[in-house]
Amino acid sequence: MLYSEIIVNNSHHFKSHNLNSKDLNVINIEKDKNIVLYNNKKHLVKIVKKDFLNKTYQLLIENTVYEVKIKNHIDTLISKIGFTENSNQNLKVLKAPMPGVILKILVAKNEKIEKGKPLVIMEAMKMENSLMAPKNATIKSIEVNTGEKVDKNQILITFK
Amino acid sequence: MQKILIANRGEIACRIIKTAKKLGIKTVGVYSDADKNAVHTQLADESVYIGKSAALESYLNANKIITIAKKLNVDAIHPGYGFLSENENFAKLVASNNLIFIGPTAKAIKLMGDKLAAKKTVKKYNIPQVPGSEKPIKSIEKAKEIAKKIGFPVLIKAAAGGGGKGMRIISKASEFEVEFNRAVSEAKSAFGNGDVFIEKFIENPRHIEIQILADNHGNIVHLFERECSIQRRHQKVIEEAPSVVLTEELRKKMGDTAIKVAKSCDYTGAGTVEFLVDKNLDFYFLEMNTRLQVEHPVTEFITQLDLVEQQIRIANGETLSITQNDLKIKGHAIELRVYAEDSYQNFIPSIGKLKNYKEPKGNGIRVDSGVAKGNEIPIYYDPLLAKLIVYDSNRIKAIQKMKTAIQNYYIEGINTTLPFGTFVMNHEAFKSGNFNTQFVKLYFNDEIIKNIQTSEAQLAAKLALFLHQKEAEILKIAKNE
Repeated sequence: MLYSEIIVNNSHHFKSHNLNSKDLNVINIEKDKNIVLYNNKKHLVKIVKKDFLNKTYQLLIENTVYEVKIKNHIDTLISKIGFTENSNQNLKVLKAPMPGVILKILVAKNEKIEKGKPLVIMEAMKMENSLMAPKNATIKSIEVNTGEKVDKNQILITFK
Repeated sequence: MQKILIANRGEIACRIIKTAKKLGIKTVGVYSDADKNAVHTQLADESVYIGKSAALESYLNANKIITIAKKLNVDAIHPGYGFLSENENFAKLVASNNLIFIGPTAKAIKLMGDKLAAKKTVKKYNIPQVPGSEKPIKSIEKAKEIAKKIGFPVLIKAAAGGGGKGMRIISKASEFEVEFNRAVSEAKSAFGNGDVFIEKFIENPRHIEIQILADNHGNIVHLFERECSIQRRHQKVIEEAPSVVLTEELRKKMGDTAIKVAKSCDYTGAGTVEFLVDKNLDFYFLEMNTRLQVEHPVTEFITQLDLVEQQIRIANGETLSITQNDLKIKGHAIELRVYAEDSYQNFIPSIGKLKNYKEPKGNGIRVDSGVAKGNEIPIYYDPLLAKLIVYDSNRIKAIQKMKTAIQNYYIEGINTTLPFGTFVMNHEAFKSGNFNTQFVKLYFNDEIIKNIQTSEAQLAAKLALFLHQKEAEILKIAKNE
């Protein structure tokens, strides 16, 4: 079964199939400010930060900031391969973690990038996945084009 | 009085400047390195740099403050609370330099500052006191003897004490062997005075205090009580007025007692007499605070008086314009101290930068603050950022208003006591009024905190997933087009 793992404040872990939003009523009152009825109880929630590509959200609930990270099953696969933010500083290349199609390339040659910045968006198994910079680096070359089909472990980007 | 110097910082400095402006009095602020960009530094008509960030080199530097006051032709000095406010030598120094100290006399500060001296002073006026020793206790034998007389459990307290330092609860005689010497050495290192005494330990008391005002012409009034039982680490977090447990009769009795305490030390200015109230509603004199209290705004709401204005008028030699008969309690006020502390981590200090800061507004909502967006919260001083005070016609409405005000208080960058405020306002014990100083220990324990956090984390997870799916749908539609 395909599911996402949702991690809150690096300490609470939830599985997406255990989290239905049926008991949630989100009423947008102004930009990034919502009244959320959860189990009929009212909460004022402010969206502090939302980053769709990195699947990270920062929400202010009852005067406490909650950092939420959504990891789908492919991210989990990636993290099993060892291609996570803890990756080796010596990494010289970004490889495709699975076969798929390149949807978008978000960086250019010679661009200085910071660890965690999304570099490439790949579609695999009908889902979009962003591949992030494993470290602070400069882009040496981009080895693929938008729309190109790639194999697992194919080199996508090289770092200086 | 044309010009006053405020020897303080943060919210209380801002609070005093506000009233001075209202009265047409010019203000001089002082600031340390850490407070170069602070709100109070900008608010005063003149602001003078007084030294490095450490309080000893700035806000506690009495000589420097006096020098500035003289140089800028200041008429009076307001010490605020904390720092030099209860320092008899500072009060003396101000007076000997022909300046007005906005506060009581050095003599009253000295008498009430030493707890044993205070007990002795008020004894002549038949003030109910917790049974205990009248002199410092020098030996374990003597301690045991007195404890036997008054009955266990007893409390060892530092004569020069405060803030829970040098305090020990003793439930049986054998515990004296270790604890006595520890209390003495703790008192010595905290206050430079190792004198300790013994008191009967009142279990689960309420902490209720009476505000008084006394002019230089012998007139004293009390401004009713403040209920201050919601505390952490022996320090108040939530205060309200009036208290739900005081009857008219008890209120009058405690008020009259507070006035007697003020008389016993020839008190002048605004002061507070603190009492412990036990489950039978018997009350005992605890101490007198010879300054403006942090929680004075709740009294201002229910009496519609400006206490800083009263302080200034009294210091100026004016006669009190109100009598006890003029005073009536109107409505209900609650204060929440917004500390830079993590409510969910044992109230540990939360330092950092206020990335975003927005205060709630509305009728009956008052925020006394000394911070603004972008401020770094200095590690050198008290972690009080602001006080949120609400006022309404009755307690139920005031609690409701507090809940809404907390929700509309937006602080990003550091953790605060706001979530604790919500917890208390929603708690059955607080709502019913049936609580005491053990509130945090009894109800705000690790398990409950964990449940709150898990439930809020789950809501966060659901919401994030919801937001993410919504955005994904938008992207899909765009792709198909």
